[in-house]
Amino acid sequence: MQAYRVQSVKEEAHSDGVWSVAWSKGSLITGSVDASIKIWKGEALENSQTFDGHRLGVISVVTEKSGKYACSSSMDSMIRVWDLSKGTAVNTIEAAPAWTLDFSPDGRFIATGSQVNKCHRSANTGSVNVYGVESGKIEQSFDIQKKTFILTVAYSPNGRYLAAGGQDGSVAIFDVATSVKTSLEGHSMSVRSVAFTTDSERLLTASDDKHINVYDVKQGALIKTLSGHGSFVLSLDVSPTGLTFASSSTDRQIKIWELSTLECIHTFEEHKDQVWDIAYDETGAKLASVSDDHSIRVYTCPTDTSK
Amino acid sequence: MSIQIPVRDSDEVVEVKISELPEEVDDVIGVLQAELAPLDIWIQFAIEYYKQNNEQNFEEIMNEANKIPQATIDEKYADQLDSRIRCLNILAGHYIEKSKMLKSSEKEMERDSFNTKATTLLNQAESIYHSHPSTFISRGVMYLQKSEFDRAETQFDTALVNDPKNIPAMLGRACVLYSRKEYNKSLELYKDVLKTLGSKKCPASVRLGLGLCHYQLGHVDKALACFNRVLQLSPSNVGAHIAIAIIELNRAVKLGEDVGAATEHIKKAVTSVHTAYQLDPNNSMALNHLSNHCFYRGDHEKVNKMSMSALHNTPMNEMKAESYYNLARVQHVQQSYQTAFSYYFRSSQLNKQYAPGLFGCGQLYLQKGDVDNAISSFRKVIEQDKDNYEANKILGSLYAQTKPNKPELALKHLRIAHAAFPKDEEVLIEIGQSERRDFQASLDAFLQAEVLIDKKIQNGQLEASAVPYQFYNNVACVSLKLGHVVKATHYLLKALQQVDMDESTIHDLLESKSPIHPEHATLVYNFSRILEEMKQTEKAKSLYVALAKQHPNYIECYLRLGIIHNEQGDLEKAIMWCNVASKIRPSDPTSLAIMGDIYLKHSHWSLAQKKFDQVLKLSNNDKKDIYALLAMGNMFIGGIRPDMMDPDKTDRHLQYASAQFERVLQIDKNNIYAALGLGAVLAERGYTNEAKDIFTKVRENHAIDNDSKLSAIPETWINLGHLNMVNRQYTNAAKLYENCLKKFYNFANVDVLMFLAKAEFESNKFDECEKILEKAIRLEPNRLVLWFNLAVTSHEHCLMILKDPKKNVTNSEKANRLLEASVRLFTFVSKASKADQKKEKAGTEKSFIVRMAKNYIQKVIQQTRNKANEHMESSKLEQEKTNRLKQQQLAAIEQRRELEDKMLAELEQKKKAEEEARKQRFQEQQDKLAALQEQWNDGKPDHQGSAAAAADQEQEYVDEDQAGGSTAAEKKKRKKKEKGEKTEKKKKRVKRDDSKKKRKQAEKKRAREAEDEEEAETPVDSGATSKKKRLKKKTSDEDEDDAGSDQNENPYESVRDDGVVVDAADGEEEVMFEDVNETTSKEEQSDESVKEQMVLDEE
Repeated sequence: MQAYRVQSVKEEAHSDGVWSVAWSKGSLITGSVDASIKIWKGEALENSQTFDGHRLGVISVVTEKSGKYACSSSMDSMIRVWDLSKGTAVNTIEAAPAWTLDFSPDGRFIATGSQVNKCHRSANTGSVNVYGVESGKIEQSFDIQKKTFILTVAYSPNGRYLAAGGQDGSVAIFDVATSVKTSLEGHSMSVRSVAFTTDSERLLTASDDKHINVYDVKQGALIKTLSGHGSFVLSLDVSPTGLTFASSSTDRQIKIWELSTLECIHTFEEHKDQVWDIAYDETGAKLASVSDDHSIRVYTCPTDTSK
Repeated sequence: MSIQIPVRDSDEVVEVKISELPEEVDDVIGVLQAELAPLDIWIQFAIEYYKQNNEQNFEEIMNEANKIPQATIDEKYADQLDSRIRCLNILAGHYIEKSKMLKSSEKEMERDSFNTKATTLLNQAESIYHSHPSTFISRGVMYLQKSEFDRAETQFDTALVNDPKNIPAMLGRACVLYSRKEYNKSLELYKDVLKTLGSKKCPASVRLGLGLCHYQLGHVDKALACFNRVLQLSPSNVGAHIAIAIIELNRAVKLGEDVGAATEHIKKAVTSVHTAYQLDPNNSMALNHLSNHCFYRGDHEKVNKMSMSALHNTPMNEMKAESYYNLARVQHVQQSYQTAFSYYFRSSQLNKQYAPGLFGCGQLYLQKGDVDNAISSFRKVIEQDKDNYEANKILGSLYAQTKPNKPELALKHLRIAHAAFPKDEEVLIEIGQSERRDFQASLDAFLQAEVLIDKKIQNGQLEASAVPYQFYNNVACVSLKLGHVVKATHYLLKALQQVDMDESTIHDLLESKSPIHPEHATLVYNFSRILEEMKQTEKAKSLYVALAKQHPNYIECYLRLGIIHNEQGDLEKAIMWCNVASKIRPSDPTSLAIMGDIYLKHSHWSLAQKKFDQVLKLSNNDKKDIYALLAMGNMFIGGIRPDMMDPDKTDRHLQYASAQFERVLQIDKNNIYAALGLGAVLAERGYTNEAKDIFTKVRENHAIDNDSKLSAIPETWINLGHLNMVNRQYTNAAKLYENCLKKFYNFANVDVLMFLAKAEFESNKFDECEKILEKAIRLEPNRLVLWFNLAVTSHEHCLMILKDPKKNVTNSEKANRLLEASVRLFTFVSKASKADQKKEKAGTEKSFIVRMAKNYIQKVIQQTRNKANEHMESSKLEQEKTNRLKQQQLAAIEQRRELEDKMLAELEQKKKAEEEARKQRFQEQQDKLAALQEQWNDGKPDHQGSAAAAADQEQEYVDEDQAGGSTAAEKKKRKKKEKGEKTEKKKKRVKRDDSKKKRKQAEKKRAREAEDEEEAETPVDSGATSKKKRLKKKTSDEDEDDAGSDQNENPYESVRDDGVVVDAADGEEEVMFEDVNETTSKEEQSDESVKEQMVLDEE
């Protein structure tokens, strides 16, 4: 039986806080407030490539399953699509201000929240814009109908839904095909991360209220509120095994939760500063975390059912 | 035995057997008078009567003796001066003794009459012979009796002047010293007496004195030995018996715990007291001690009797105080508090230093509920006996419990009590409760108490169930305050256990199954607090709700719910809960203050102010008042401050803030938070110097570090930061803001991040400033001002780079990148409220920012862009120039290398030629020498010959060089110039280390060779010097100057001394180098020639 443990540590991976992390074919991609994106290979986390191009801090880096592309957003109001094999930006999209991103499960689209609404130019309400990866143009837009800054978006693994969380605590799920919106009540403070379970049936939301809410997607109802973090919950990721999910927080902790019981089964406290992002690899056997302490950490996670 | 009375005018005597003294004293007196018996005979008779306890007869004989008419005395007793004085003194002494025996205070009159009689007699004695020692001693004793120690001392001293070894005087003086507590001196005197008398003759009373002194000096064992010796000599010495009793009692008290041994000592003490009592039923000391013993045996009747008797038998207040104390105690246990109090009071009045009496008073004041007087009584006890365990304990708890409580004072006394008796868990618990600031100390005390309690439980002295649940509850609370959640849980569960509750009862409560006793509700509440600390917020919430359902008046539950909801950002629910609390207890300002806080956090300034105003109306200048005032002050300085649109409004706010702080300072002039706040307001309003003053004062009086109490609130750090900003101490300000972020917010507070960014901006640390702003934006991207500030910062950063006169492409690129970023940001900001413009008023902060951003885009950016372009162009030009120069340089280096190779070859040749020449010269000289040697070979000693040859050789060498020509002065001048050039060359050699490796190696080689050359020179040089020295012996001192200048001008030295590398222009280098090479050879020559020239001068 495996246990949760630290596998690798890369101190000073960036010259400043690291804000985002994603896996692509066994490599890690990180984005930092130092404006750079770096690729890390192997257990030793060798820095194999650095992508410069963003002028300001990189807010989000995401990857798609084929491993061809990575996509990043920055405070300089740019979204860049990177060809990972060539190491070059294949597309640059102006999107002011783009926040966190998510690839559609088929890898063709990239969704991001925005304050600027392309559908209704007259209203200053938050919207979720979906860009074509190849075209670089807005292909679809969902209006959250609330005056809020959308901090996070997530596609459901089956591609049916797109969820968004806003700075005022609002959470909405859109039906991608019909654009029908379901609003979820429960948070009054910034929702910084949303994530669907692998079966696309439940939505997890992380908030500055220190709690994680678990919703039933179909019913649009709150199932449970999970206490445990001592400060803002910044990031969530569901393990591809479908058994657990992880949360990270300003309290420097990373918690592993069991989806069946909704209980916390493990806590890591390895970072010296807030943990901005976490990501499971494709197998769920590894979890990576990045923090304002400039470091990257990778943990091994048991993937069998007997925990 | 018998007394013989000489018959007048004959040799016969009348013999009276002492066993057959006549009953009728007149008969005796008649005979004595008739026969004109010597006074000694009178005395003998008197003393015999006295010994047979016939005081009356004694007195009569002595009286008659003293009444002998003057005429008779003049005629018959003139020669018996000594005896006459003795007669008077004996009777006086007797009266003094009689007065002493009258102990009761009621017999003051009688005592006085005896003293008067004694005084009359002593005056008579004095009139006969004014300086007889025994008269002085008698007087001294009388004064002692009357406790007039100073007068007594004078008498004894006078006696001792005449007779330094007068035993009674010495004893008297020892008594005086003892009464003055000069025990050491007293002891010395007693010892002196013992020595004078010899240990065999020494009376018991002297040993009693010794013993008492030893006792007072703490030599208990010695004291006991003395008293025992007294009893050997005089088994009926009451004083010794009592002294022994006291010693034994003290020993018993000291043993305390060891009951068996203590009992032994008490038994001994009681026996001694009993003996004393039997010997002298009227001895008050014995009576007091015995009654004390009876009190402990519970024989209250006897206590009363003996104490009364003691009271009547002593004139001494100290003794009476003890008797009253004993009487009081009986009344006290019998709960006749009024009488008991009056006795205690009398006891404490009679002897203001008698701690037990004062203690009793304190106890009964407490009983009456008169805490102030109780405190003053216990304080008096402690004045007398500062380590008194009981008094310190009670005083400690009084200070802790009475209002306004004084935890500091309480702790002081409790700590003394604890030191006196460490095993009192009650004291430890009180300490734990009084330590309100140092939670760790509090917890430590509680844990020590727990150990003692557990021990008692183990020993069966205490039932585990008898430990109050409050104790464990308190331990849990302190643990929680210290953040020891696990410990807190442990103790709270223990507390629950004491009231037959556990976690399951709490769960039952959640399901409204079982009611909770109101007294135990606090345990459930604390349990919820622990759950909160364990981040089990949801569970805690439901527990508060369940508890409040059962106990609707438990408003703390609602307040916690309010606070939790506020922390979760749910303003509506937070206020709702607080309102519930406020409705239930409208007079409690806490809920209002919390609501004020909540509104503050949500930036609802006017609502917050309303709540704080309500708080102020409710409270009367107490702590909560201060809290509200501070909160409002901080609100107006921090919260509303950044109103860019309306400076007047800002100033009004600042004035309002300063009014709040000033009010706090009126209530509590040492309130540091208010002082800091006021400082910050003054700073903000431009009163920089006043702000600085406050700042300095705060700094002087309070160390602002991580441990200080003051540093426990973020406002302290922020206000200090603001003050530093005003003082332009940006680095300090940044440090303070940063500490604040680290300590309180895990760097996740946008407001403080903004302050920090501002500090970095002001010190032109734009890189840092940008990063901080980006981090702030990451947290709250909807705050437009952050984006705007980031844009401005990038723009300023760009401008700073453009201003730098050093232009290069990297910098230009960076400037362009920054400009580009700032333009994007300005554009984004300028578009932010396009949609809103109609809705929002023109005066809002947002529209202001948008306008500013537009202004930047329209007016400023183009200028900057032009500058940036110019910069880029000049940078590029500069780069081209540099590239060209680099190529030139490379070519130059190549050329130079060739030249140097050539030069090296030349040098080599020259060297060879020189070597040849030198060899030739040497050969010539050798030949010459050989010739000379041959010439002188006949008869002359060897060494002489060789010395002369050497001198000759040198002479020749010089001569040869002299042919060189020019004058010494000229040569010197030239040499100086050449040396300078040589230095230049050397420096350059160092500079050129950036050339390629090959070049370096070549240079090294060259350098080595050059050095070789120099070395080759040195022998000549040293040869010259040695010669010079030899020459000096012959010549005068005036040469020294020359020698000095020679050393100073050594070129190699100067190169090494001045390590500065001259950065010559590249183009000239080559030429310079050539010059240098040319001069090298000349220099060598000239160098030598100068040296030779000097030698010549010396000659």
